[in-house]
Amino acid sequence: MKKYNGYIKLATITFLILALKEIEQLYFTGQQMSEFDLQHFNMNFEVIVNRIYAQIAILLIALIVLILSFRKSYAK
Amino acid sequence: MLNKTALKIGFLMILFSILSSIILSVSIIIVLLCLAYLINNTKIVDKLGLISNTEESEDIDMLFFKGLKSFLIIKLTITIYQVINTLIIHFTKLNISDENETLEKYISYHFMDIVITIIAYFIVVKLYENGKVKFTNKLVSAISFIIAFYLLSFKISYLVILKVVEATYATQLLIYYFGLVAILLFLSNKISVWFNNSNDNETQLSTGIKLTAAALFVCLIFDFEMFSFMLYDGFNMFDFFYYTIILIALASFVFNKKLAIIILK
Repeated sequence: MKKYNGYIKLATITFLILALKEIEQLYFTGQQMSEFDLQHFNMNFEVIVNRIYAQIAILLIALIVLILSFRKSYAK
Repeated sequence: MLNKTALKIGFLMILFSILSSIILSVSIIIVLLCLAYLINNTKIVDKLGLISNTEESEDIDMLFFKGLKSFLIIKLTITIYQVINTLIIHFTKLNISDENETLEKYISYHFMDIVITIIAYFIVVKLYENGKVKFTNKLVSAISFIIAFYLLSFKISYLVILKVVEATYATQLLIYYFGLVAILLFLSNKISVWFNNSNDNETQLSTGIKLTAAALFVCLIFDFEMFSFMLYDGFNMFDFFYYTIILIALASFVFNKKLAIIILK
């Protein structure tokens, strides 16, 4: 596990950036579009809120893994 | 009359796509050249201690190897994230039963991406690690170059088969990559002198081919077709800057020892 510690960090940082970008985009979509426009894309506000929650879950998991990987390397 | 006009328009479109791909490859080459020049010829980088191994000249393999490995890891992460995101989008849709085909299409596309990335990873491990392969240096780099190009064209044709992109766009992409390869191979002797200071023709050629292969692998890994995609609906300077900055940041990350020590060790 120690051998791949660095790559895990790299992967979690990538996950963090991607999830943040997606949350920003979803938030922007929710602000810009009306309910009628959203129906056209097979969405409504509830869908957007659910997706944001899912992205936040990914973000939190990535954050926990990142913190754990840093703690391991400092403990040595 | 109509046929003639259609022919003219088609010819113009092909010409435009070729021109745009040449412009894009030239711009990427310029960025790469600036990076190579900055990394190898300025003393600022040495003074900052960003590069650890300018004196160990055979380390060029190691440098490519490490950089490509981290690129591959990032690409794998991005693909896994895209799979998760596709699933999230699918299961939060209002009526799920509608678009099962779309889900299958995208999942198989991402799966193919993962497989290609894993293949590329093993190729990188086998070919760039010195001493593991018994062929001559030139042969190894030529093989890696050919495999990189083959994987690229395979990926693009798979995109067309799945109807993720249109055929004209795929042709444009292939022309663009071909231009990139041609220019890199044409300039490879001069670039390789910057990386590997030797008068030996064989070493220069091999470094050039390796550099081309590395550039192709990076294109393969990072979907730099987005570079050509921005010409699709008008040239956007912001997009260009965005991707250029990402490219520079990634390259500086690869060549940056301090950051690498913090993150990778």
